[in-house]
Amino acid sequence: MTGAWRLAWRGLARNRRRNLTTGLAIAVGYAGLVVLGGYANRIEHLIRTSTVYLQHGGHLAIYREHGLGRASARPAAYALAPEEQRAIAAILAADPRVEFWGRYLQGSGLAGNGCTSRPFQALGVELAAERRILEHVQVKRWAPELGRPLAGLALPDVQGVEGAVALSAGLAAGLRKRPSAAAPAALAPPLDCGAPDADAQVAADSGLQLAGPTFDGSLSATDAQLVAIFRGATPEEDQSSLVAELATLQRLYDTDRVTSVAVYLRDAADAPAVARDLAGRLAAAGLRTSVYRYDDPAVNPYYVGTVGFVGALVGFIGLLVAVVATLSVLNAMTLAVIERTREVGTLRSIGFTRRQVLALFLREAAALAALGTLAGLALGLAAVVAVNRANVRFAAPGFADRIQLLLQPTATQCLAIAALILPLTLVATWIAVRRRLRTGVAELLTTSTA
Amino acid sequence: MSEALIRIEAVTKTYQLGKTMVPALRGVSLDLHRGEFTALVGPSGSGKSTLLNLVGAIDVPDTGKVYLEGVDVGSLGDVGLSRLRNRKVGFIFQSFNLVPVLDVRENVELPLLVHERLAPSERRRRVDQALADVELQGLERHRPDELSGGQRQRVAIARALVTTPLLVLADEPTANLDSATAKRILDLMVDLNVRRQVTFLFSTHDEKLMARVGRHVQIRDGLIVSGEGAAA
Amino acid sequence: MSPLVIALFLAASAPAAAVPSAAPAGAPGAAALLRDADRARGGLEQGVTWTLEVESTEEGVTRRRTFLVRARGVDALAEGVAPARTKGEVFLFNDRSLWFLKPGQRRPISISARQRLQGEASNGDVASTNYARDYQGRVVGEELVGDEPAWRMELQALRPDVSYDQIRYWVSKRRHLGLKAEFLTVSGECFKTATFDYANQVVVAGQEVPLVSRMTIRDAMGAGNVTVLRYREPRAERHAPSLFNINNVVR
Repeated sequence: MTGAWRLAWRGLARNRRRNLTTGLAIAVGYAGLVVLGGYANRIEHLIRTSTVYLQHGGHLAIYREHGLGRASARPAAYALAPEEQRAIAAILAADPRVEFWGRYLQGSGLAGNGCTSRPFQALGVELAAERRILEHVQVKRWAPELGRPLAGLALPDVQGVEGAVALSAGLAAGLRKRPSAAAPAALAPPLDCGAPDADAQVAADSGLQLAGPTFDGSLSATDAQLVAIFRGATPEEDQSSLVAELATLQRLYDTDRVTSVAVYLRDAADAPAVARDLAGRLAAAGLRTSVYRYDDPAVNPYYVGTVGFVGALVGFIGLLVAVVATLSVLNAMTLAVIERTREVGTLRSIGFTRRQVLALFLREAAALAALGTLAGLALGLAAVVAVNRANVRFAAPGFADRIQLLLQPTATQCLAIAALILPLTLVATWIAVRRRLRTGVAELLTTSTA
Repeated sequence: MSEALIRIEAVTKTYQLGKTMVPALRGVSLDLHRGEFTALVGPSGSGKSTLLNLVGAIDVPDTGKVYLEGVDVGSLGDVGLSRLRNRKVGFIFQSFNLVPVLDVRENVELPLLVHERLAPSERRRRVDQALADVELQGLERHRPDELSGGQRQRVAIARALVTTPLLVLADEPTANLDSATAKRILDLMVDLNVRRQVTFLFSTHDEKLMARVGRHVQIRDGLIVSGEGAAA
Repeated sequence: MSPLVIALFLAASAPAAAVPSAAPAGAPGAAALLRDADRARGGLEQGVTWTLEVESTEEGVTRRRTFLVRARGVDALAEGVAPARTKGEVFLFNDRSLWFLKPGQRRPISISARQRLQGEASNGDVASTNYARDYQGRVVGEELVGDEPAWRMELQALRPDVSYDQIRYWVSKRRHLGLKAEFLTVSGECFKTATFDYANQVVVAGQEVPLVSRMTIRDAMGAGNVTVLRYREPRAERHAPSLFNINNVVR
């Protein structure tokens, strides 16, 4: 139908105020969805980056079978032995989708300052993997402020310090310790824990002691040095987290095993496929292991729960916005078709079929939706820029620090939302026009609606 | 006598107005032939418009048949009817029924949008021809609201002619015009009938116009009272 | 098995709180009973030295450790003797605080009562808790333990920092020795049970007094997990108070 788009544009110009209102409803709705989508995208990436990289979960985590649940209680039976670690490394090295991996040892124990002690949950990390994490483009892009210690030097940046550990801020505060990269005196000065200046005596020494059960159940202890303070991922973890070099913790727990191997992929989207392949190859190699994806609630309930919650929230609000925009189009098109009843009759009388008349209105609605969407995109992006510049900070669940309210919509998201708005608009138009089109031509021509 | 262009056989049509049934046509038969210029005459509510609607295939009879070039109009679906209206019939309305947001040229071109595919040059030529036939050159870029009543009806006539239909139906085409303009419009239609052999069927209750028309069909209370046969 | 169980012999003999309570006719004062029972579990004021063997079986695996223990009142010092890799490890029980030191470490690390409840370390509390000081006792009945008539007591924690909220305790009527105990969690569930034997004798002020020779601790929930503490070669010895100063232990 040549010239039909011209007709549609002319149709739009007919009732400018109403179409402006409808277009604005679409624009504001679309802008809102862009903003919401940007928020959801940011939160998902932030939490994923935090979960995968900063909390060392990896895109995939390999445990010995049942190790995820049982390794903490019975590490000797459920941690990965050196020969298993080597076999896993060989399999990982052969997969080009794997960017790097790290071996991790988890354990618990007590950290003491010479007077008091506090319980800790420790994670032993490999410095090479740690360095890659801190310099990773995803970390720098999505969680730059979470990647760096609050005080002191990140573990990979500390040179030649025996037993270097990083403590969460709450734990360090409880132990009255401040980080230092300089080794303390070999011989510790005696402490008078009852003295009024006991805290100052403790703080003067960056050394501390770690105690914990060895894999065979006896108590072990080792000297350590506080080199960095970081924020725990949650307020609870902030009270008790300790990160040390893998070798330090292996010495403390008197073991050469590790709890898990975290696998970092080049593309997170590969996680399901690599998980499947890995599970197959590990089994083929005779290893009894379990592979968990980062989006598996068994390993990352917080990630799954939060992303699910934000998704549901955004989806719900998005649905509301879409419904409002759709109703607005429905209303506008209903009025338009009533106003133009006689014109519809005229078009029908000069040979337009029902479908061709419907197509005219659909074109009109599509043009309106396109204009509204474009305006909404501009509006939404302007809002995004404004919010990001305003540097609003808020307390997010699961984060010890207030995080910046950042909106980071993606092109895919914007397209997807637009792709949702267009069919909704068309359906609303179809509903509005359908009944009028069933009316007989003669009746259309005589109906007085102008 | 040649095959009738239009054959109407014993059609009836009843409208429902609220709870009462209003019979508009009560058994009408009529033949129209190629090249005829026929006036359908009768008072308001006599059934003129209903008959025009049936002939123009924008309405269907309750009983009886309408044949256009031997085709039973009642046997066609929406697409067939639309096609028939587009290719074979042109409509002229009492209140012109132009699309207000389109200019003169675009209004005239409107039926060609759903016509068989035409080369742009052919389309242009046909629109030009139709505009020339109604002497509207120079007003092509005007919107309907910038035109006089007579000019608007000329646009409507051009729109009816642009597809070179077999038949042009005009429902009280001059009712909204002053008498001088009405006369000019009728002259134009008569002229087109003579020059281009366009078959016209138009309804009117204006006695003054009838003198110029070859064939009169009188209709009253849904029945033809005279003129149902062929032109004398 | 955590070596923290060494704390078991450390029950001290600080004076018990006076505990008025409704008791069956003929029952002695609950506080006096607890004090006597604590003493036989190792709380000797003058000082005592013995060898402690800890044998723990967990899920079919048995481990053994041996300590040389020197105790005096509320303080005790245990040094690892065997196996070889634990030699020189020191546990110092100083009143209610426990210190641990490995040879070569810059400082000892303190381990508090609450922290000991985690895992096997809780056995230390089973053995060491000074019931007379930390609990308010009440004699609630009489029962036979084996063939020995005993007072059945219920102990309620007086302090929030002890490991168990309630203890059921059976004390011999004749000997005033703790025969059996059940340790309850805050929710009232039985967490561990312990039985005590008193084959040891030690001469204090010219008098032979019975002393605990074996304590058997079973996990009420963990099937088959059992720890047996054997107290060998007890001898009364005077220990200088400085022996139990944490700053001296490090040097």
